[in-house]
Amino acid sequence: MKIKVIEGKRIHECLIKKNIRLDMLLKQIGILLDMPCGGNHTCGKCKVRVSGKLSTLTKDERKLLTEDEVKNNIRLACFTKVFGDINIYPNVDATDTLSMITLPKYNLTGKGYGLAVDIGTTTVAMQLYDLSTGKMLSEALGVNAQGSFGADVISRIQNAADNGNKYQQDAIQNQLNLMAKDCITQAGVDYINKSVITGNTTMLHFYEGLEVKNLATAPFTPTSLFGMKSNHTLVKSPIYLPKCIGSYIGADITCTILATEMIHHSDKIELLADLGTNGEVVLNIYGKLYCASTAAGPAFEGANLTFGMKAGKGAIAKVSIKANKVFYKTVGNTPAKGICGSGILDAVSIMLELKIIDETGHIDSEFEGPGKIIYHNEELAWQIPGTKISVTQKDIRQIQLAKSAIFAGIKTLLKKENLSPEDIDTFYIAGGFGHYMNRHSAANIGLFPKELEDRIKLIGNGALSGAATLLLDTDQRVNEKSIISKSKEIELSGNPTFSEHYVDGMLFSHY
Amino acid sequence: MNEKLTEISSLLQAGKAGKCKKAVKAAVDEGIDAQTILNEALLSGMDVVGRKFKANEIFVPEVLVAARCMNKSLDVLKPLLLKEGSEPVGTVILGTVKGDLHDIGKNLVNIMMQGKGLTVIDLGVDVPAEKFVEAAKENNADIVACSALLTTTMGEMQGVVDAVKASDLADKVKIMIGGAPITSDFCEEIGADVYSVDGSEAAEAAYEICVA
Ligand code: B12
Ligand code: FES
Repeated sequence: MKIKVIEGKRIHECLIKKNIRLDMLLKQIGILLDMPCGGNHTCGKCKVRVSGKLSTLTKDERKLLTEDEVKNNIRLACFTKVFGDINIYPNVDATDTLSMITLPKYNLTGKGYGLAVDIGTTTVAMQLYDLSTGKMLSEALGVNAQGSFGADVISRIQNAADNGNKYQQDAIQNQLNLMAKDCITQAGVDYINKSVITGNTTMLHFYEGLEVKNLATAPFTPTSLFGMKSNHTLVKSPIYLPKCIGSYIGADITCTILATEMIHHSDKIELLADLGTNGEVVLNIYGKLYCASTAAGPAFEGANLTFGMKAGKGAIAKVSIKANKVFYKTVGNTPAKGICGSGILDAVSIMLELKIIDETGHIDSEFEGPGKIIYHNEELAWQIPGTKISVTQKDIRQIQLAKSAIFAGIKTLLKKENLSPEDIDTFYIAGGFGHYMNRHSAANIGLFPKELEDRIKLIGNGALSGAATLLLDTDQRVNEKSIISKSKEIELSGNPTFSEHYVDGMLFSHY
Repeated sequence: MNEKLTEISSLLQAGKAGKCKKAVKAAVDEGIDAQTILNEALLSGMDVVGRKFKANEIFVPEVLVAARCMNKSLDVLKPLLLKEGSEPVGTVILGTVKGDLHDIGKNLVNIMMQGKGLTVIDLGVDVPAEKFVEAAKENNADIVACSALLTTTMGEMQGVVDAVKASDLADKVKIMIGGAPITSDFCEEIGADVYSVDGSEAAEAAYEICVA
């Protein structure tokens, strides 16, 4: 069977022998699709244009596609089986994100060169440092190569349960090796003395090749919490893996806490939130650390939304309003193709301001003003003026579920010692999304209590900062240990305080 | 329809628990029988709530507030209903499968099913397959309904299907499944009977099974 991959003028051909599912085929020939649900047939995001001898549309697949898409030969890769000759038209999209970091105070303890790495579930970041000067010489960034095994950790663990974890281990190890070589060339050095690799608990399990099965069902028992030397090497250098606090509060959070220097602030009350899929929140109360993982989901990465996409080219990243006129801005200033996390936050905030939605999130079908109320696939929706991109009623519900998880997580930790948001001195926000979002929009829709808006301090990729700190200054392991011993994980499952705040926090009035 | 009953129904839809309970008491004092209040005010009110939820017009908080009204009002009606010896529509055993602790969706399903007049026995979260079967036997249930929110725990539903099939409940009990990662294909694959996308559809389907 002949497979033709057609990318603009470039045509690439290959042959296969057996019938195969389309997503498997794409993986084999190196076309990486976003598969947020990991091929579970629920997210509808594994879209690809393809024609030829394929299985017919099933009812479920049809439901996840629009009429236009069906007409344009768009299929969902995880549903579709390849039976003969086909043509594939992949739509590759470079996602560029920045790694912004600030290091805490440290002393130089080493010589030579080292690599600091953060394996994020979505993005992998690496920096090469001169250990004797502390200077960062080069960096590399990439979309996690495990993405095609599922967007979130649970989907990847399920994939490992079905196919073993070797594929994912290979994917990430190969990726890090390639990135390391890239960094080495850029920096013009010829060897690496040591490395520190951080990441959430699941990512470190995959890197080490440990059993992940028990991480994904209650009581969530990790095989290891690390805080040890890796059994592998990175471009021949020994690797240190920082310690995780729990199964869902990983070494990335330990490193982020390290980067904030929170444990030294024993006279303060501070909050830290990582606004990623797992939505970790940490509260420092005079040196005591309460941590929780709120499982907000990937809505702020654009997944689960009708026109959602990552912050790549053509994503609406900003929406604003002036004198009753709505303006928008896309990444790369190209025509609007979809909307990313920071854009949806702005859009929902404006919808509230204009009373397109009420406090329960219901879209007013009779709204008159900027933009149009339309029906998109039978869902009531607000179309952003000047674009074909709209925010549907279902999208609003997804945002309510996600924002309230973070909000309720914060409230639950505060409740531990009967504190209120006003008591918080500083609110650290980690992660790329946190960097790009408009804080006023975030506060306005209730992603966090309103009082915190003026107390925000952005720390960028805190996990990478922490890893770099551990790389440059071995004595920081003392602080790492003390973070672990001062941390207490607060379980949100079966926690009535959380449930109560979670349900209330879904409204747009309760904060 | 009686004005009192319409009033109760709209108080329930608006989520006014205190007023709703008061209105129910007043209706009882007026001599309207409990079964009528239940069916024509509370359940019909919940039915509207369910339909609006399905249409995405209202969301989780509004449903839960309406549910609180219903429970408060039922406190008044229950003793009377027992006296009247009314017959429930059917019995559902409900729970979140083993390894999974998510319960908000399941609780909504519970509310909506009660809103259809079904008796729901909620086993909570992290429920092993055998417990579903045991409870179904004990309560002479018509339906076993399982919820799962994790891709890694949806497989537990196969266990429930197998356990039911292996028991003497096989032809008596229907198995319903749901939760965000579940699909109708998955339902077919594991040999469960019914899949529903949301609480309202779940209640509808359960009702159909019980009256059929
Ligand atoms: C709230 C939440 C939590 C809360 C749960 C609180 C509680 N008391 O339930 C907390 C914070 C404790 C939590 C914990 C975890 N969570 Co969580 N959680 C969520 C969240 C944000 C919302 C889920 C929800 O309540 N939805 C609202 C309800 C109303 O919808 P629903 O459950 O789908 O129910 C409807 C239908 O599905 C249907 N239905 C439901 N059950 C049934 C049953 C039957 C029989 C029928 C017919 C129909 C039916 O009817 C319902 C009403 O219409 C989602 C992400 C998101 N934004 O959706 C993640 C999410 C489900 N969690 C996730 C994860 C990974 C976890 C954790 C494992 C790890 C973590 N901390 O990140 C832990 C482990 C807990 C455990 N063992 O179960 C992942 C799952 C990923 C996957 N691929 O499976 C999600 C998707 C987030 C993500 N990271 O992407 N979570
Ligand atoms: S529907 Fe195919 S990966 Fe989600």
